Amino acid sequence: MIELELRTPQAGVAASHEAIWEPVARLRVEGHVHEVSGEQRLIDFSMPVLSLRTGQQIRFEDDPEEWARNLPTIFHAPDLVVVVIEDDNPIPENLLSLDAEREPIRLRDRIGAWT
Amino acid sequence: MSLQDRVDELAAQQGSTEEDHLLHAQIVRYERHGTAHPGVNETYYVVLDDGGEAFHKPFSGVAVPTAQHYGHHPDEVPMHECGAWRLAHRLGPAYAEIVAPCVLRAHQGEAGALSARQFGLPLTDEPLTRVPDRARAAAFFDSLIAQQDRHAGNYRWDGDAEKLGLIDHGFAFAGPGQYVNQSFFVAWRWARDEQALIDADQQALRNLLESRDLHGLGRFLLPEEAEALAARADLMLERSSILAVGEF
Repeated sequence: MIELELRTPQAGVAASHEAIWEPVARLRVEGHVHEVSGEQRLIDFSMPVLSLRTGQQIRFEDDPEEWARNLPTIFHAPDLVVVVIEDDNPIPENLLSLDAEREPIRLRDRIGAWT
Repeated sequence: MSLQDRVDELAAQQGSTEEDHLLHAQIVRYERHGTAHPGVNETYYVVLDDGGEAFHKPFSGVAVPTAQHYGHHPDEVPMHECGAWRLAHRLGPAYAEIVAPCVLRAHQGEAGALSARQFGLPLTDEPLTRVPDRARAAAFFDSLIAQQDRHAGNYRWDGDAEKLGLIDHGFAFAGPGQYVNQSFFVAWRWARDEQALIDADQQALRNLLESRDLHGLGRFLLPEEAEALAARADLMLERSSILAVGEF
């Protein structure tokens, strides 16, 4: 079983500029049974997703739970983020914590300092 | 050429009407969504002092397994975000107006891609009927940059302004055989048998190839990415057609 929420930021009042993360849709999948609440059109079951478990593409009809589990990988911009609320078969941590050799970089910021 | 050299080159090219506020406005809000998925790139919601909203994707926050599945080193992901915008900007207004402006900028010591928020709805096919010329331009652009993940959640549609805004170009500039998830506009244009280039597309490709350095991208993309970009432009001109979905 997996349950997800899609959230979007709403800019706060000018004084605080605090963002409020507003839930806009919720998806629960258990086996081949699914339930959507909120803005149903935001859950597009025709979209393929990349499986972080296998590196292969998954379609909803192939494995509904695993499709939902990997849905966060296709929402790359945080004006619509997918948050996992509950997951009884999460992707193993070792598959999510791969590392790569990184080069340190410096970039001049807006006031001219190096960071 | 080191990554630092390429970053310096990209930074030196930045600056335009669309980019200047992203480069110079003060950041007054910088917020990560606390429970984001561990396999997803770390991104920050940004509010600028001019009221603009943007998203910052630091180099250090790129999710390594996802980048690797797409066939990229994580450090290339922010470079691609900025590279896609710079290419759109240099190709001309027909392309710049549909791509989210994006710059390389550091905040609190973290360098990354800062991309202007595109407002409107995801997951709607309205642009295909309301602004088909822009949808065709999107297909041309995605074909040229080898966009690997243009699903219907990777653009925004503002129906009141009739504005199409393409977002998320980190997984692009792919080479042959690299993973493709979806290519919404390219598939649509092929399905309508409208893959043939229009005159403006052809002129944009000729201008790109005649520029000394692929409109500057040859100076900061990886050499193999720049070569692949030129090869796609050549092939598109030779066929007078956009490329097929996943044809990198």
